[in-house]
Amino acid sequence: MALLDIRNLHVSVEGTEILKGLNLAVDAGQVHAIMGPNGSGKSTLAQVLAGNSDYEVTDGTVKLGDEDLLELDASERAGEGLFLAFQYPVSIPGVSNTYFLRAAYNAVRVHRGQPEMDPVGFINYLRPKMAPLGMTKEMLRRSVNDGFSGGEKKRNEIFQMSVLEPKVAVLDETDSGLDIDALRLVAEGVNAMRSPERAFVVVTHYQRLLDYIVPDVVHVMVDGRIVRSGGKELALELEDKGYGWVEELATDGEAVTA
Amino acid sequence: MSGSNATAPNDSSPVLNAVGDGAAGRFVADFKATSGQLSTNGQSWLAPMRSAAIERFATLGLPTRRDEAWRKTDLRSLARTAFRPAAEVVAPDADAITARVAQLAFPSVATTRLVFVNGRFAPEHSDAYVPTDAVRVEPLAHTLREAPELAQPHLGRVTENDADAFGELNTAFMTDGGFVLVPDGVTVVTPIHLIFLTAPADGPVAQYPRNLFVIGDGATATILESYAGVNDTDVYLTNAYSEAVVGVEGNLTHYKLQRESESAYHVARLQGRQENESTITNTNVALGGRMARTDIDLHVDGSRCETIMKGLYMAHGEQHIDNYTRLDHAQPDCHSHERYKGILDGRSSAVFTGRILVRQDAQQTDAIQENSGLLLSRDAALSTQPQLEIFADDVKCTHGATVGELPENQLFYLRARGISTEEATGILAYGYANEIIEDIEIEPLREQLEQLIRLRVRERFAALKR
Repeated sequence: MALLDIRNLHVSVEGTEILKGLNLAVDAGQVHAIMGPNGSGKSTLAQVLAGNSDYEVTDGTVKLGDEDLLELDASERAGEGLFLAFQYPVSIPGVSNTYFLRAAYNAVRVHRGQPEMDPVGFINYLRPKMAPLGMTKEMLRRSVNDGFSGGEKKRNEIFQMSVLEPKVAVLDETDSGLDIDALRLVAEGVNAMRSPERAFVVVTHYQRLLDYIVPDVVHVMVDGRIVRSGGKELALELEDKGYGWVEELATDGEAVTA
Repeated sequence: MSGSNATAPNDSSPVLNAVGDGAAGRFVADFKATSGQLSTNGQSWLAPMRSAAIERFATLGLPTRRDEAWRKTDLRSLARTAFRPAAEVVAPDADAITARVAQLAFPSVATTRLVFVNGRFAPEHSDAYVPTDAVRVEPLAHTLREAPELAQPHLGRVTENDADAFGELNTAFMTDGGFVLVPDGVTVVTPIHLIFLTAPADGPVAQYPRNLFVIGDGATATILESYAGVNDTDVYLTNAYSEAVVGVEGNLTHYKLQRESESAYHVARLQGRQENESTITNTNVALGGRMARTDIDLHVDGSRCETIMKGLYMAHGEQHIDNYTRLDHAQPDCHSHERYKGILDGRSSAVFTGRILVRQDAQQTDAIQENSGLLLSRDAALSTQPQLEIFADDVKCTHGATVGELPENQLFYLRARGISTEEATGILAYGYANEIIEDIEIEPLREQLEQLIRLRVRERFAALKR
């Protein structure tokens, strides 16, 4: 059984249908990449999975293990082990990164029936996770994402992921705005967390990120549906031929599923 | 201080006799009854100052909502309450006072602390003060007795005031408060903490703290005024008045922390004057009071000055908090930044008025004003009034006001990390308030404020754990 199982998902925003019957099954231990031209609905999929109520699900099902994800509130989804690395991480002035992380970590623990961790224990828990992502004490003291550079924000997202240890992580355009060094750091952070129990959905416009986070499956999304799926070589083919190629496939109605 | 060579108020004063037996009349009657005991410390100039003030008060009467500056603040319940002068009242519970002082103090950092209980200096709770020719940190009554020449040029004279009834009332009844004198070129590193506690017995009382801060040329000081009650059911009036003058290249960091009983009335005024190239950084935190009004009136009378005014108010229940700020730019090349934030819950209400006057000579003024409010309840109400009056033509003035709820994208970000909506709202409200106080340099003060904000927020959001 797939860890994340999306069937016939239809989603609208303010009356306009964005996702038009999307199917995606991701097994534990796998990394799936979702590529596609701008406006194809990739980010909508990421936001819907995380539970953003601006998006209306009009049809379909999403299961995380045995849980019906669509029945859960955003915070419950995180508690069940879903994590979204935001394309545009939000700044929270006045709330320190440490305070925020501990609130999130303890909320997830409580959801899982574990006791809360005290401040000292939490700092000890954080410490070994900092260096691999280049997180400094200063970045933990500062307000969440406030005044962070683009690269710092993305590293902070992956750092949060490493703290919350989700079952399924959705990375929305995590490569955008990163220089090559930051990209490598972020990719190493993700690769370090790959495990037989965990799955990743990597949403990206460019093939570049997939040189560092090597996917098991690549999907191409056009106009709210997955139109083609394949191995990692599909990403290279896309890089070569451009999105025009798959857009033609979509209009031909020749959708292929892996 | 029992000197009673005060001039008795003029019984034949037509103004005082005409005041009637309403609220203003009660204060006037109290003045007639007690002015003989109001210490003038042998200073012949004080008694006429008091008498003139009570006459002006009698003419003005207590403000009503017909007064433009009090349009949104209802003083009727204050006017209905009869207050005895607090200085006559011995605080009932000495242990409670000691405990409260301990809560308000900062043991982890050196401060010079002066505590006043019911308007009278309480040496047993205060640090010893040693008047020297250099820095003076002492009760104003002591100064008036021992070295009046230091206070007289400034007391009631720091700025040319508009007539204000509560200010006049304070001048008429003032008993004691903090006197701080920092001579030219001297930096006082240790923060000065003035604590004003009110502990009524047998009915409501009124106290009239009076502070005077004289910061010399090139001098630096940090002063904190804390106002608090002992029990949240205590009914009293604090009518405080502070004056501050900051000399050329002087630097005053001033905090006011208002934690009065939630049944109390608090009316306070800060009159400040800045000379060339001086800095005033003022932080005004209001948490307590049934009705709390603070007037801050800063006169930037020098060029190349810096003025920072920060404010945070949090109201719940039936509280009403009114901040009325006025910044008078009279000279060129000055910067000012005013930033006020409020969080309102329950059926509370608040008013923010931010007047900025840029006079004709104040070219190249750069004035920024921001004020915003967060409403956590449908029944809470905030009224904000930015008022910019600009008579110079080459200035940069901006102001912005927002009132509303927490940003959806911030809430979603926290919820997507597993935090419930309720806890997320609490965290964001805390962060919103914390932004005003997070760069306070006195660490224990910052921590105390963070703690107070957290308590307030936690009481509203049960799910907020820490």
